[in-house]
Amino acid sequence: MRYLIMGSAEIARHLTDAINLRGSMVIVLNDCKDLEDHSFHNANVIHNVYTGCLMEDLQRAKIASVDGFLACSDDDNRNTMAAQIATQIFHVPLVLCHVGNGVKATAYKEMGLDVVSSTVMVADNIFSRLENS
Amino acid sequence: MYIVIVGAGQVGSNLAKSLLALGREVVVVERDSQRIETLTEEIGSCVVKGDGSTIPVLEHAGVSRASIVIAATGLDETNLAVCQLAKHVFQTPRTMAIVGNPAHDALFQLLGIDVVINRTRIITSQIEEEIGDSALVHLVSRRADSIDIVSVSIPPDAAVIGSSLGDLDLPPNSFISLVVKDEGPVLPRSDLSLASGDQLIMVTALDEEQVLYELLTGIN
Repeated sequence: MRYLIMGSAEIARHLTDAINLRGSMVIVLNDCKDLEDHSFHNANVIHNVYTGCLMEDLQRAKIASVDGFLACSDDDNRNTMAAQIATQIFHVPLVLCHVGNGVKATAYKEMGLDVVSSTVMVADNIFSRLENS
Repeated sequence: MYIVIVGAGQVGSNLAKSLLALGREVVVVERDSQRIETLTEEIGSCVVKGDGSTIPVLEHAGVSRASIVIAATGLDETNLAVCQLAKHVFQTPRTMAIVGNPAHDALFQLLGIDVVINRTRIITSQIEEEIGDSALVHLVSRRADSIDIVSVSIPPDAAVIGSSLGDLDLPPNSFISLVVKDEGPVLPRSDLSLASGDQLIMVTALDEEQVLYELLTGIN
């Protein structure tokens, strides 16, 4: 399986390690120009840097050939647009999109995107701990 | 008519001034304090501070009663989010987005943004026209329908000079809308003959553009 991860170095690094454990290939697209390939533990990583045009960045990162796309940058709008490029233009089978803003996350879920929201997840987690304490 | 503009850069602020001058009710949403201060001095208090790609700010700007939402920030991804949220959450009847990169046009149209204005394409067409070297100039592009409206100038050595429009073997999805001759514009007729320097305003399918160009100019 091949995955493309668009996002910050930290999230990409964690995800890459986890996905690599399953023997999959990972391509990372992020905004960190100083990040080197060897920042990642596994050799199955191709590192790309944003150039400015999201469509061209994703094409350069070979989005047309991946089985899964994970949009988890710090920018909600960038994530939702990239996820929609992946689903609508390149028909990537699995697309997950991180949206930090909880209200916006709900709106995009209603629009059909598969959205994960760290804000909602953290809030839910805290709430369940409060309930169980 | 109530119009919300998101983004008070050169495009957004000038558009707001023009619309206000026409008597429209306009609100501009902008996150940058300096820009807000400048625009408020010019057009008064119809500026809302905040990120226009978030639902509470759009709500505060009154998008629920807006007839049109125009996304005019410098970022394509922000403009897409503004229009999608306006349409989905507030049921805005008409959304318009400024797009910077031509590669993003198709996505915006595919996702239901009503009007997509590509500033790069507009500038490119204008420069092509001003330079005058290119025989084919893109006037309007409708990527969702895969059609372009183009202007083709007939060069002095073109094989079609002297041919009548009815004799031209045009590709199946290309049509002549107007012929501009030295004496002025003429509606196309099958017996109208072509001369050097004539300008043809045409609707054409994207995949027929090159064939059309070669047919009318003789240039490969």
